[in-house]
Amino acid sequence: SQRFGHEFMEIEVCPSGKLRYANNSNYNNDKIIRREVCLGPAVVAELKRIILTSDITTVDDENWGEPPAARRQELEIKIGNEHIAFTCAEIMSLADVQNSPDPKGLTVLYYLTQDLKCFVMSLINLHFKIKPIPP
Amino acid sequence: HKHQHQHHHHDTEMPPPPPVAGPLRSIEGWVLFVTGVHEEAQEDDIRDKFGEYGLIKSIALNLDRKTGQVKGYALVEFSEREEAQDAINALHGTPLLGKTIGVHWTFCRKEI
Repeated sequence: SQRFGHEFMEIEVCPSGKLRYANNSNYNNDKIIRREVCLGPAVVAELKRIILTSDITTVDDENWGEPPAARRQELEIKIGNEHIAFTCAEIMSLADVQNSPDPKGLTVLYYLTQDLKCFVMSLINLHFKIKPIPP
Repeated sequence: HKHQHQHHHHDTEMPPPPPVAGPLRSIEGWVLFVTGVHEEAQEDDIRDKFGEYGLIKSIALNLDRKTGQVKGYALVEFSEREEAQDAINALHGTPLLGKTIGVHWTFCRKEI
């Protein structure tokens, strides 16, 4: 992902259970924090449950248009044979989605992203006991 | 100052926790991952159940960002591995607010 002096957060969970996390926070002199840890199978299963119960598979970004290069968010999910990816302008709040071409779909994406960040941040914070980074 | 061990009804249909490569210690202790947490559970409910097995260092009980209810999982940290293992043995497959919870190691030493 590209950086323009803004914050970015990158999260990857591999099917093997490896969690990779990177965050470039302005609160830390632009230093990139990278963490990696292996998650147990129950944790990976719960992550899948959260994704599958979010209705994200009913969402289609066909009509969303191309977002700006800066301040965009990408979500890519591969579970078994299903692979879905979404790219959109960064959703700062729900008010942003109301005037979009697909408020319903973007709302699903917004909440799923929040739930996933929450999930991963709890894992990272408990395992590494670093100072919590503001969401 | 451990309490007398309660008899817990284990849900026999619940599979045992899957084997992991070996649980991994976190920076300050051992973190358990709890699944099947009831949506109205509160931190005290977790504390009451798990506190029997040792001093709890941390609890994370995350909420569903849309509904405001519990998302369904929790993290519980103990200082000692034995305490965490005791909690797994006693509580995995038992009810919390009527719903069966799973209790698992959160982190493991190598990829599965």
